[in-house]
Amino acid sequence: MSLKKEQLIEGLVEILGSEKVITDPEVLKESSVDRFRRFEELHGVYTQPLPAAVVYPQDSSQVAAVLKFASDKGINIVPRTGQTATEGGLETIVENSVVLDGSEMNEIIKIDSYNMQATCQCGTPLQVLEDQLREQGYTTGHSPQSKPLAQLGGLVATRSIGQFSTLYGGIEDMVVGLEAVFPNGEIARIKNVPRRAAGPDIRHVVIGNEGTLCFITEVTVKIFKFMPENNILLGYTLENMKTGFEILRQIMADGYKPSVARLYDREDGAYHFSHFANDKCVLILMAEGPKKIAEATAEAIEEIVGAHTECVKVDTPYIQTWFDNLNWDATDVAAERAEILETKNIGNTTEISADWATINKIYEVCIERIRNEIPDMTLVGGHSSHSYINGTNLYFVHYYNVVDCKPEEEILKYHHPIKKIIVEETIKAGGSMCHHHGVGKHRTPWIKDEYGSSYYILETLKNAFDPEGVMNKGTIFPG
Amino acid sequence: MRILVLFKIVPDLDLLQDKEWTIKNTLPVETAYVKKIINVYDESALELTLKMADHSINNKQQIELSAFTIGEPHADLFLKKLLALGFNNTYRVQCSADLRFNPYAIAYIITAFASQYGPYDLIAMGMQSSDGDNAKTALLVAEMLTWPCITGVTGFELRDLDLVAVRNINDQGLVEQLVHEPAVLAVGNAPCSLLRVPTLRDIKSAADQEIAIISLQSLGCDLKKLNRQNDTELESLNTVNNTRAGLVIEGTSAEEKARLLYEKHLKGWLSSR
Ligand SMILES: Cc1cc2nc3c(=O)[nH]c(=O)nc-3n(C[C@H](O)[C@H](O)[C@H](O)COP(=O)(O)OP(=O)(O)OC[C@H]3O[C@@H](n4cnc5c(N)ncnc54)[C@H](O)[C@@H]3O)c2cc1C
Repeated sequence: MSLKKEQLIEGLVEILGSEKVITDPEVLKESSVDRFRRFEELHGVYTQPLPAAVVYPQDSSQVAAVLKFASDKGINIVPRTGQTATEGGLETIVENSVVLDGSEMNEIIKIDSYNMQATCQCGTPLQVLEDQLREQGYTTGHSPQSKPLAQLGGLVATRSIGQFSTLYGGIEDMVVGLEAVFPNGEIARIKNVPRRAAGPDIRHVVIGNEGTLCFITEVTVKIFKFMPENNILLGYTLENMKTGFEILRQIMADGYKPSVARLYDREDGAYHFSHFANDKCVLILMAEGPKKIAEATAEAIEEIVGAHTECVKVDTPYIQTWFDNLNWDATDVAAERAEILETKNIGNTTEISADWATINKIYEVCIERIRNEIPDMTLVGGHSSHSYINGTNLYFVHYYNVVDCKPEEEILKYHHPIKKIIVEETIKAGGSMCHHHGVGKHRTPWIKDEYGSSYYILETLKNAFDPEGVMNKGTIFPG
Repeated sequence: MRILVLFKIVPDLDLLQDKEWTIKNTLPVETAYVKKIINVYDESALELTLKMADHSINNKQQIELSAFTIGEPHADLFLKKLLALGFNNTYRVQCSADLRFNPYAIAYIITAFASQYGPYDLIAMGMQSSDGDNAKTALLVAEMLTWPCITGVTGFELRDLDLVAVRNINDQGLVEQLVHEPAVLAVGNAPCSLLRVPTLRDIKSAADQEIAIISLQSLGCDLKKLNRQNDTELESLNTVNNTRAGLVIEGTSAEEKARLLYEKHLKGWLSSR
């Protein structure tokens, strides 16, 4: 970067006005990290270079002007919206980065209930959109645990997925069209059509780019009729994960689409369901949609599960209370922070996917290795929460006590070695190292192994759309 | 020194939705389906006791820790955790009766246990539980044992072999007093409120330790009689309105917002004080 920090800020103020260019040191500190480094942050330790400013554009043309300016002057841009990133995607690893925050572009532009689609600006919190839709009898069908906090731009940029994905799909199945701004200042609109076969699907260049290729300014998603009165929630306890995976496989292979399909191992089950799990695995399924479909789906599920004698049915209210409290809002985040500070016990997650034949092997080997190789573990377990015709995901949950190390050493002593085990075992077995949190900055060392020979395609996208390398350095692509 | 910590397993009421707080005649709110937790004040008592034990190990003092609860088998999960955290003994009095509004019976059972399994030098517990809210048990136990009781305890540590420094909040504010055992400590709003987490290794090494399950009968407790002696009766339930209001102060700068906050909301309130 040839510009001095003062000149950089002057340039930004010229584009956005001084009100929208924030240089308060406390804001800059918080903006240098995301959830991945929260142990350091909670102890007031900031190891990353602080950004020069956090800026709030108000429309696409301001986004374009900021990106063009950054590109011309070689300034690293870190896009953000809801700030719930878990993998370091928001870390500012380059001196004098600029955090481009789209959260003030938060208008719901149109709810088109005839064509069953809704258009929003990138900073619209999903919860706000969902609440408005539900008032009118509709839903996005997207329900990540971070729904109260995450915003549309980030949700699309990370290829997020929600709890009802087995019926509605991930965000990539929901996005109809969008608008994105590229580092050269080009504003590109992808129109909203039901489908097209006019070349490759360019939505996928944008969806999941994690701020490394472009800045997403507007999104149009599908909407669905909201019929919670038809929901049928089913729960079972069972002896082992292998049976659970087999049940999920059968349900998917037989062509049923429960919205929720979750399988918890004993450890994760004990954490969430201590009121009934009794040292057993837990399987939870929900049939939803039009009444007849929901009923038929529930009936088929009961039949499939019923053939496995180790499964014991659980009364619905035991699961309903848990389900009603699944999402995380700002209060939960604050409570978690207080807990970590007091107990020095911290939990993180790593999500992967693999086909049916492989998933249980990955599960077993990772759990065993983490238990044996990582010190001070207090919980290692996991659950599958998103199933497909050819396989499922695994969401590993790992908690440990931080013992005898400085806050800035926590990641090196515990978090990285755990991630390394899960990522390497998954790639070795042929699965994917990232199911829905994105690559961020902490899974980039394995990105070439993840892609193999197809890395050529990914790398070419980066070279083409961000030739100056100013978009979120160190994310997805090694720094 | 032998310390007994009493705790209760309660439903995590924060998990109940507004709609579930329905009151039908005098029937308590349905909580059977809700995840269970250690009552928060009891959790503080357990952690404070462990901290005292850490300290005493450094000072080479001998401390024996026992944890005790009255209830059903779902409490065993928590007792196992306490064994993993270093409690030497764990006890559960098997009892499925609803004693939420009968602190007398609870205190009676505790006293019977302490007399039979004691002597204990110190009994610590939370000052009240979230589902009964009686705030009487500690005082009743102290009365039955004819021991002194300190309420509103926020911390305690061993100073000498039989001398405990206890901090508590009373009408004078925060005070520290030196107490000769025995005593009952009722823990209140302690700054440390969360129990530490055992490692998988701790859990494994405590796996063989047994929880002692005790019957009411073996303690000479007759539930029917205890229920007859209860001087508290649940007459009615009312919904307490806890709604709060929020206000977003609109302004173009922090200065302007601060000025509006002061002029519109704080000035009048401050001058009326
Ligand atoms: C408690 C909790 C629960 C979670 N549960 C789920 C879950 O169930 N499912 C799931 O998929 N994820 C989950 N996540 C992860 C996270 O919520 C998602 O990744 C979410 O999509 C991020 O959205 P956000 O608006 O917070 O984005 P941010 O955190 O602001 O950014 C995330 C990434 O996207 C980039 N980005 C943000 N906005 C833009 C934009 N406008 N244009 C281009 N790039 C952009 C950022 O640079 C960053 O790399 C959870 C996180 C937390 C903390």
